[in-house]
Amino acid sequence: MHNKKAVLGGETLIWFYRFFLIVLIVVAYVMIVLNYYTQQYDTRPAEAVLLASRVIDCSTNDGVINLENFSDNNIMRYTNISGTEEYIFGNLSYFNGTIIKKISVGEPDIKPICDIKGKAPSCLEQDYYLLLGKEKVKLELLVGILKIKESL
Amino acid sequence: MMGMKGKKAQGGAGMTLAVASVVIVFILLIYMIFSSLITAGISLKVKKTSIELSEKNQAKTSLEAYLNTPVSITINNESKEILMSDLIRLAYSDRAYQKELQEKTHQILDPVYKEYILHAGIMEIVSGVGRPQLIELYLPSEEPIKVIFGIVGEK
Repeated sequence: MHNKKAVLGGETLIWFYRFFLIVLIVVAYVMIVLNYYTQQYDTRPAEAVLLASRVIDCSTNDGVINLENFSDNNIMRYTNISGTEEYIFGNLSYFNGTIIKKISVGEPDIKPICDIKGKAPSCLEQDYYLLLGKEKVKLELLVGILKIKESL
Repeated sequence: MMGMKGKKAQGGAGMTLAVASVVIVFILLIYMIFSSLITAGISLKVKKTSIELSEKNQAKTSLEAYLNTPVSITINNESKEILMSDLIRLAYSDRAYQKELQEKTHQILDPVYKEYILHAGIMEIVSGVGRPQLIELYLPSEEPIKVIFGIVGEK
């Protein structure tokens, strides 16, 4: 009688143990899946590249820059930026350093923060060799994206 | 005697479960670590891909401008204005123009880029030690001339 009770008690314990293992496995898998799908990724570097390529697309053709299209209004319209979370700065100059035209679209306060490496916002600097008619020119482009809430 | 055997059997089953649970927990931990590593790697991959894309975009636009740049050269004692793409074709068929092609290329690209790679027909310029993303195109000619260009764009 005692032996039967002991066997029954042992089996119950083993069943509890098995149940505990199943719960453990399920919880662990849920945690893994949640960790994978709820992770926030910083996509601002990719967004900055897309904005920069939009600026180039709307103001150049076959490497030749069009000064009429290279303007604040046109670039704001073409890139469709909100104005508070992004900043685009462009400096078009001759090789001797003479500035031809500058553009500044969006939130200019983002620019000084770009110099602080490793901190928000996400900034992209690019240099382009372009033609202005037959003249050789250089375009320095800076794209800064704040969007801290969305990215962190 | 029977009781002893039953106890031993129970002890064995318990031991099996304990070992099995340790193995399961170990496997789950490995899954969790891998999952964390994968998610951490995605953000880095986004950044790396963005830098590569940025370099390619800059190289593509600058190469278009470079090939369309007009330059003055002397052909048969006569000064003529041709495009850089034509000078590449000319240097490809007549090696006497190779030096001029190289000089003109340096005049155009050196003020803009510190590090770049340009292969155009017989000319090869490797400036700097960086390994940029390369783009390539073919200049139409009797024998198409391959042009490869890449700039190190990360500052």
